[in-house]
Amino acid sequence: MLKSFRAFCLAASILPFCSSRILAQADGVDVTTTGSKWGEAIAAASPKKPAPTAESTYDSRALRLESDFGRIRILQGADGLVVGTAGIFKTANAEKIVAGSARAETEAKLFRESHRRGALSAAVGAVTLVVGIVASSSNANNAATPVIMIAGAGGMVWGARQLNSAYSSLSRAIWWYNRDLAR
Amino acid sequence: MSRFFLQACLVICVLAGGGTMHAQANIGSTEYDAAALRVESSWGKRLLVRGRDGTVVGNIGSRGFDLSAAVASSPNAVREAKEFDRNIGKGWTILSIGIVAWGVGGGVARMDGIDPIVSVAAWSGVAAGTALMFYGGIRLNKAFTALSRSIWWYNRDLVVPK
Repeated sequence: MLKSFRAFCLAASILPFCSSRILAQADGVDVTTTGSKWGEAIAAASPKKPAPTAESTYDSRALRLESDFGRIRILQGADGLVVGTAGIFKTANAEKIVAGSARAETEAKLFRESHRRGALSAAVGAVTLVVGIVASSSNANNAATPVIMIAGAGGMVWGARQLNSAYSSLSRAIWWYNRDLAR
Repeated sequence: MSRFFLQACLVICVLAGGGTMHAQANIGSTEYDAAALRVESSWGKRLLVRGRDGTVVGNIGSRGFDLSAAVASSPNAVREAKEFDRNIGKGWTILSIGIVAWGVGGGVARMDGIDPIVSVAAWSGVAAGTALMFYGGIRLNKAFTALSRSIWWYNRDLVVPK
């Protein structure tokens, strides 16, 4: 009886720390065990898939940003598959692209918010500035014209700052996403 | 008693082994946290930033900035860094010349009562300036693509065991 109890304790101590479970957890793979003979038969008949390594995971899934004449492209893997693009008036669905990493999703949300604010402010500022310039060169010029022009330029500068901040957030989102691929 | 002692030793060995394996699985991500690079922008400047804390490595495109040195540990990253170095300086120079040619040509061409030859030269300056700005933009685009790839390779080689 005592021997059986000791054997049970030993098995209970070893099982949670066995190597296959540790490696599977490190790769983020669910560990499913079954006592059924059908499971063993199916596993024996199925072609064995190689376990994903850090190299294959990073090479196929890691993201990077590339700029292309004013547009930002989000590329995935060593082959550079385009998974999203962002421009001044187009926001990539970065939250979906970096889904799976909590910190990356937070930064992606910041990117979307800052990008929307920045694009709106820059656009309104540009229109205001153009209206001011047109007014200053026409008969409608009055004391309010310089104020309109300054307000427009200010809106553009603030918008540019927000867009700057947005792209930094996107860069951080991708950094966190790639970091969590390694875990 | 000795059997119980042996069993206890076995449990300790398994526990220690498991801990070591777990540590090995996390080596890549620890290095990544400390050394992985990214680009952030601040007031029109592009900064190369390292690690989780965001230590600034340098101002990209400024004099004295050496990307090859920053990514020296990864051969693929160094190859892309050299491509960046080849294009960044020339790109900015060609773009600057293009802007000056475009501005001067455009300014002269708008003047009243200028000689037709001067007018042709001015419009040629505008055309050449436009072409140079476009070409400079292509070189800069190549440079920033190489920068992105260089950082990707550098970070990859931090994670992937050699």
